[in-house]
Amino acid sequence: MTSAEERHPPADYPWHETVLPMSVVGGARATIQGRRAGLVTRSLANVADVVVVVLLLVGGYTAVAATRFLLRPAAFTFPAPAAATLLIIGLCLQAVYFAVTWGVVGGTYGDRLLGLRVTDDGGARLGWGRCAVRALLCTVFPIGLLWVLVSRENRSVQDVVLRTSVVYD
Amino acid sequence: MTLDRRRAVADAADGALAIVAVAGALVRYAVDTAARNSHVLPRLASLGPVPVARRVLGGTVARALAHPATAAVRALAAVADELVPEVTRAVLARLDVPGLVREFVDVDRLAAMLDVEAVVARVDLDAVIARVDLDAVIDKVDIARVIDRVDLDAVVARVDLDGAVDRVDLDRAVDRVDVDRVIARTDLAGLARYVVQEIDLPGLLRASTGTVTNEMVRSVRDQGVDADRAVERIVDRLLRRQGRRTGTIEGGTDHDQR
Repeated sequence: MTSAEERHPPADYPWHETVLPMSVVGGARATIQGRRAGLVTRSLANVADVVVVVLLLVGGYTAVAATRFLLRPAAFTFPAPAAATLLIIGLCLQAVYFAVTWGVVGGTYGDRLLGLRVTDDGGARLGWGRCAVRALLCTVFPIGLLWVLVSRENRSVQDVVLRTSVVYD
Repeated sequence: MTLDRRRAVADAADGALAIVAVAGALVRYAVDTAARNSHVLPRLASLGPVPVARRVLGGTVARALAHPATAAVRALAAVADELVPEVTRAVLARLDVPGLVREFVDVDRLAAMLDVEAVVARVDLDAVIARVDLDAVIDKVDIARVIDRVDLDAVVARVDLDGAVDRVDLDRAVDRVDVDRVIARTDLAGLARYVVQEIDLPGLLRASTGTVTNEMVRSVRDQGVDADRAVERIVDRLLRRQGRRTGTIEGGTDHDQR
């Protein structure tokens, strides 16, 4: 080390040190990564998913109406399905939406928004079969999510049945 | 010249000197006797012609005797004047004078006896120097060769550079620097391009906008996690449980969350 360097330690010239852009993943986030998520986060994700499903439903309704208008513009009226029909369609849509997103990217839009990921016990993405069964169970028996509160391992009823986990990503 | 020849010449010289000395003594005796008989010249100390002539004039006998003696001395002196330089030259020509000096003279002792300071003091050095054409001398000196023989590194090593630098007022020096001129000579545009390239400005802009949009999402996620923990703590307290094992294989060890 030369005398000049002794006189001017690197601390005097911060621009000499490489400062990398701050990591998007915060430190607090890194410590909880891979742990099973709690009820609040998963519920918020479900709310977001419901919003998405409703939007899809509205989109579908608009598409159907537009199609009907194009086919018979003269006799066009807005379709007026029964509430039960709408509910069933919505639930089916939700089930398909759940299964496809879990199988393809490991999480629904709500899960991605809240930083969650659906995995098996090994941390891997679910297979199509388990995705379908889990989507069905979640759609038919959504109240099973509350078991997260009671479960010592933060598992819902569906998780307990299918040995799956929802973890912080 | 061999030693024998030198000795022979020396013998001849000695013989000649002896003859001359004897002849001189005889003449002097004759003159002395004549003078003493006339009682005119009680003391004839010198052979010099002038006093002899003056004193011999005192008596007729002496005068009669002295006249031819004086004439003889004069003739002899003239002959000697002629002969002595010739003989001496001949003798010296046959002698190795430097060798003799070296043999018989202690030059060192002579030199020790010399008062060199006095000699030097008598020398007008200014006049000597004034007569020296220093330009011509310098022209003859090969400066490059002289410099080649100087060990500059050793000279520089003996210089206290740190001390010199410490004595320099760098701030004052910098005050006198025309920074504008320096900047004008630098390639500022190129430098700026390099800096922009280095900091990846487009990437930075992307990252910052992404950060802004992600900020809300991140805060929602973090608050969600906190809410999860709070709800779990409340439930665990109600159920009188110690904690939860929320860890998975991916999430590290499966320890309790408290």
